[in-house]
Amino acid sequence: MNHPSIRFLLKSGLVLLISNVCSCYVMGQVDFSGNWALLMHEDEAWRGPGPELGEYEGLPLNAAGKMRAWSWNASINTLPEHQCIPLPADDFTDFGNIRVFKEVDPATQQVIAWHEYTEWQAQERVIWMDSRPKPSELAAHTWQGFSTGKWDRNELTIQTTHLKEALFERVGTYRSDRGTLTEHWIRHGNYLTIMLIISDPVYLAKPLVRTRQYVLDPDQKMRGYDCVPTAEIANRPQGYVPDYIPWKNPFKLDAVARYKVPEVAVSGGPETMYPEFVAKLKNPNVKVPDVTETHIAPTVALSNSNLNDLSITTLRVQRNVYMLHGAGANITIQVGDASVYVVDTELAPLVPKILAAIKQITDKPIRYIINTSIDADHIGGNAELAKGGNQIGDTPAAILAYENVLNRMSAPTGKVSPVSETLWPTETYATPQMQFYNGEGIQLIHEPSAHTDGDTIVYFHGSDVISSGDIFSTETYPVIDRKNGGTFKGILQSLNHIIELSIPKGHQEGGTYIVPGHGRICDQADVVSYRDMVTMIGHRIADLLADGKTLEQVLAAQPTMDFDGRYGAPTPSWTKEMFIESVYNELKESKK
Amino acid sequence: MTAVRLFLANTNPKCWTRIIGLTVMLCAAVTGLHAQNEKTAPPANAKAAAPIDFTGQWVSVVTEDWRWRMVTPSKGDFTSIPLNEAGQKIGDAWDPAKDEAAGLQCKAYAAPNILRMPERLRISWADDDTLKLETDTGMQTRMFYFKEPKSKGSAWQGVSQASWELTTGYNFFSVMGVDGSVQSGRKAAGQRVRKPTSSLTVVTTNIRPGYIRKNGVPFSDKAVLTEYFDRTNESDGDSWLVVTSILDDPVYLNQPFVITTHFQKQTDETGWNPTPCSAR
Repeated sequence: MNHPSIRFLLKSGLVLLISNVCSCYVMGQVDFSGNWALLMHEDEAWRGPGPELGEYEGLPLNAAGKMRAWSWNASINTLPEHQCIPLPADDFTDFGNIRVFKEVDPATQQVIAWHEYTEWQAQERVIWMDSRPKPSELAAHTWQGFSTGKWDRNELTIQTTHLKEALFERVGTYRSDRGTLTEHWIRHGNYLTIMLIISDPVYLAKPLVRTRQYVLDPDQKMRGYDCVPTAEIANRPQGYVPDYIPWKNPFKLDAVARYKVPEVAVSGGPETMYPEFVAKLKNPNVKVPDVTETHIAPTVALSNSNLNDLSITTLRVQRNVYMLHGAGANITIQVGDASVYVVDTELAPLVPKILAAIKQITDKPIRYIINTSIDADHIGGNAELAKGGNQIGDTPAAILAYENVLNRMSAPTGKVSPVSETLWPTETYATPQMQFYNGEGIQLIHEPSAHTDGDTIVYFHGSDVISSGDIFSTETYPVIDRKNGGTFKGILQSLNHIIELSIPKGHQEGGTYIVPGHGRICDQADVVSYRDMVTMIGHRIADLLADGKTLEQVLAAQPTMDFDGRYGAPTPSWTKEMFIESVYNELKESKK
Repeated sequence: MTAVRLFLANTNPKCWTRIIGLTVMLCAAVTGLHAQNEKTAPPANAKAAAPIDFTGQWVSVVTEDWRWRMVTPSKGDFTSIPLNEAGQKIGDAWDPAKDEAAGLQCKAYAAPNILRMPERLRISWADDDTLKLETDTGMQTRMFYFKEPKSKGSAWQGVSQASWELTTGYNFFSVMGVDGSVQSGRKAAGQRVRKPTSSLTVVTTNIRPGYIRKNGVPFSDKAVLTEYFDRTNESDGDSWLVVTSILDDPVYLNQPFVITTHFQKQTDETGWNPTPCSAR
């Protein structure tokens, strides 16, 4: 190309074109890069020493949010499994300086992501600016969630989902894992304002809005933050969860005595946020306008969708292990160079789709199938999936379960078995099972009398994943199948066992992942949260029982009310009332 | 330019003229559009120039500092305010009865604290260059002047100079000549077009001394209040007014006092309830 003038014209044209396109792109964008020092000129009492126990004025808690908060005992923070929980995305602005830096595409110099690092508890958030899609709803949740940003004039608007359940005040006020966060970052010279809007269908009647300020501090020195949990109080029994019976919490009115917060306001609620409430503070008999609560519509845990329309969702859990989700229980699969190891088989009509989903990952044959329990949605695909597999030669894959599963499925000679023989396990175990398969150790652990009396949890040691079966679910209260030998006590013991087996990577997150019987991928913190919930409900029902309440009275007392928005959705075979009744009956029997 | 070189090397020279023509036409069109935008006459007044609409009724949603905003805190509670010793002395001597007797019930309703009250705001254009903010609590009126202020100050709301905040950055290529040369000096500076963001900046001075908090935490007549008004648009149709306030007071503060207050947009005038100032 020997035409310098033409080359120059082309170059100039391209430069002009790029510059015009770029100048349109950068309009309105602001650079947040730098070290920012937190200003605590607002809410200092809440963010520093913390509010008084029972003090929730100005917080739009719904009835469930208040009950949950009244159950909270500060001593829970002494448990090793709670000690390293960091401030989540919707609370990072409460404490500690931050550093913001951008990640740019080297070719286009456009911002791919903003990174926000909070010194306190060493948390780093990533705010994606590249329009990437959200992860699956079944993906693991984290303390910082999944955030995407979008410019709205000079404001950066951030949407965050996939958050773990967390406190937004250190007095037991929770935002559930169904909650979301919207933020607006606004910079004015050396000041940064971050506005947070926390929405939660489970515990908030209205969004909670907060604003926090930072000042640019280029010379800021940040320190690291390590957290190693340790038993702060010795000789506590395994699974100990400190809490209060919500209707007997002795600290509900402490802020009234200490800070003269009017009694009418101290328990919070959306009405306490509005100017009209001032009149009620002066005269508690004054009526203030009703503030409509957000309608809580519990998710239906198991829909009656047409199986033909269902697709199988595949998520990689970690290393060699994947989770498959369709209509019934989750399937866990471990994939190796030689073959596939399957935990639970869903429903028979879905098997072709399950096989197709596995084929997307590997063309290796299924060699082993494990059933974690007797449930129809865990064993339904046994026969077809085994046929689709191959153990040795042309024989179907082996189906393995704890011996009680076979005992419950079969019947003495001459009698009709409750479950078709085609679905029976081909092998059972009664003593501890260890296998080395597909390059890693696999441990089958029988959990006695939990969901049923035949439960198995499967621990893939190399991949560091536990498949829990129906002992743990993120969708419903634990199903206690008393007819098949399940117990409330066994459920709690098993949950505590899973907590004991799993190790978080850091800050109570990641490390060992758990595939629950139903719901999304979890880690230890999620099991801890579930275990706490189950334990607290047990305490409440025991308290009502100790007060001589009948089952009807216990049901009327709504001992699960604060968790119903999260776990109370009925399934075709399990309701919250059935759960309460199971716990009540078992506790009553144990008192005899 | 590697891609350009490859492209040129593999293109029939007969097509060059057409390609160059098209490129230049495209560039001229885009540049022309920008130039046309920049050459457009500036808006005649602040109202016409407004990059965003703040008018309407807004309600404060008190989720922060509740103990100090919804009720009158007790004497000596200065939590979170960077008050110096002189300020603390005055705060400790707070006597609401004395204020009432002197007719100074509105001391806590002055510009530095008026937006912290549980209240409703009405924002409207008083004229094409003056934005008016009224409160029902304390029945105060603030005037934000985009031109020469008409008020002389010494009132609770002082004198407020308003401006639409401008962008700070500029694009290097906007000062690059067509021949690739970079212009410098006054010519380049003239081309560094700073455009309005969606923020309103209000600087208030000459405020009659009053309280930052209802329990007698003082600010002096040397105080300067800088406020940034922003508005959000939520996906559910909600909108929030976010006011970041920076109060500098060399007399009573150790450092600037920085807070942000939020108000939710109302679709009607429900709840507007004018009430006079109260010292307690």
